[in-house]
Amino acid sequence: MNIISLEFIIFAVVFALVFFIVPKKWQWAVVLLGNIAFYAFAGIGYIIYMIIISLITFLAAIKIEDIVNASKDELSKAESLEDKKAIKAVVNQKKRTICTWALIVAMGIWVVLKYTNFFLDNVNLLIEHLKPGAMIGNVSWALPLGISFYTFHAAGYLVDVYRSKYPAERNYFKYLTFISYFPHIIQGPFSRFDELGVSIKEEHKFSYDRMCEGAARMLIGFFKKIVIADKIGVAVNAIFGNYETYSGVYMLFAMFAYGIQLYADFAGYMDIVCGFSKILGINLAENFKRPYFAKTVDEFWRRWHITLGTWFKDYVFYPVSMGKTGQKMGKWARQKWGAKMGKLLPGYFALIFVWTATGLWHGANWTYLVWGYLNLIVITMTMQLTDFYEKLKAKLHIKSEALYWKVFCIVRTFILVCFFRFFSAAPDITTAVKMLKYTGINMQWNVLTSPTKLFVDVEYIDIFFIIIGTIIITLIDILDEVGVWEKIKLKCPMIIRNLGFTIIIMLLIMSLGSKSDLMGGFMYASF
Amino acid sequence: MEQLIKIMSEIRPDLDFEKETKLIDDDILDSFDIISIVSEVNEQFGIEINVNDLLPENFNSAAALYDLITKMLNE
Repeated sequence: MNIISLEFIIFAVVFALVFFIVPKKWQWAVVLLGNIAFYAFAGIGYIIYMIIISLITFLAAIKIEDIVNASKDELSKAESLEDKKAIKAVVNQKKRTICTWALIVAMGIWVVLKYTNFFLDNVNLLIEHLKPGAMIGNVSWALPLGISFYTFHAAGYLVDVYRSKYPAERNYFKYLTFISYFPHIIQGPFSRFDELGVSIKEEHKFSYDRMCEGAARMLIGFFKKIVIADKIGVAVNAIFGNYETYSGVYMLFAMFAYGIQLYADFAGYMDIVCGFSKILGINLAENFKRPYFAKTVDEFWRRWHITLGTWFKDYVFYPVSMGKTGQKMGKWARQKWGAKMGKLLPGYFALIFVWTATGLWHGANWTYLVWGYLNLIVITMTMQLTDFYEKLKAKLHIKSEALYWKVFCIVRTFILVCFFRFFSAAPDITTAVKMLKYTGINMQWNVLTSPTKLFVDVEYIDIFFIIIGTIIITLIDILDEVGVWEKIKLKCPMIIRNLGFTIIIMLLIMSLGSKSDLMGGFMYASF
Repeated sequence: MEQLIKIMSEIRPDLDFEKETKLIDDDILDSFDIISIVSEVNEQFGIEINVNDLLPENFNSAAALYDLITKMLNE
């Protein structure tokens, strides 16, 4: 079911009504039924993967907890410290074995479904050189809706129970309600069981204020998606799809327009699902914190798709950097190059794993790996050269707190992240390189005398919507960034607030009937 | 405690670890600081803080981390 559709609006309204009508102790069951109904629109057959992955992690978590509980009795009877250590070692070994095998099977299903064709394509490249004509055909299975998200939710839950962060859930259906929660299944956010799982299980009273707040946020989300993303996306597709014709300035424009499209699309979706969850009283993690105000690429990734970053930090970065290899590297670097490298090297080592995983998570294609490694290179270089930059800034009398310097850093970071996305936008590396080449040749500067021509295939009226929409969202983000947006919302007279929403609703309705519209699903859903 | 404060101050000389109580909650320590502190503490105290112990309540202050160290030394 497309979230930008009348059927979703009807579904959401019916869902919310039933949710508040049933006895509060059964609200979680309504959520589960709603999740299944939502999933059924994409093909109920695919739910089997979700059931298998959730069952594996559910049972493994209970088994791990049972082992720990059983050992408590043994530990209390142990007579010496050595006995205690021996019992703990056995328990840890059992826990690790169960956790590892459950993760291998659960994530293995996802890996096979998502990466088999990528693997076969690369094998075929090798075969082509060694024995032309003996190629292996690709598999034709479809990637089940949301599998990249629910697999990670399930894996995170299992690891958290393994780490004794919180107790295992003993009711499978309550656990499945968390895993399958439809607002976060299509493109996140990545949720944690001790936050979302607990929030779903709580009893929720209807609140008029919360409903207004949630509905307003949903409205902003629809606005971002319909008025900005789907319209500017028409120009982006037209230019990126014909980069030989639309070279130079057109490509530069498309590079930035793609950045705006991605943000409006992804943040718009988050506003819709967070707003809907707010109406229900269920807390969904925030995924954005005005990312285009980041002053470094590292900071950008702490503001963009925040929950993906924290997932990789908790389950990849720390285990790798604190593992034996990471720690040995740290000690070695400290002896050889001093304290600074001793601190940084284990982190750099772990970041290689993080960015390989982040790249591949976004897509089974070398383009995503290159995109990931570009991010990695800039982030590590920035950390490595911090002292040099500080000295340079001191020499040039640049003050870090000066507004001009902050603006420079923000613009620089925006350009960098948009530039990297040539690789995530292109279908393959060769095309990405060609796109880059055509950005720098045949500049077609004359188009700047008539900038509306940059909006290739977009109607004039839609150019107006894009510009007005982008200005409104940018203004809101600026006010939020400087910390006054929440105060304005609270103190704003009702008449002005209503006027604002009327303008947004009018723009939304007017833009719905326009010709330049992608009318597609959400971009991150394909990941 | 003195030894721990010394370790932490060498890694982040800009902070007063005797006063800070929200090192994780307020994002004062970054992930590189944490792995560095853990590495040094493990080496100097002869314990094994691992990834399972990376909970905000163990790292929000020097006192909390000291409690974790003491608990591990007594186990």
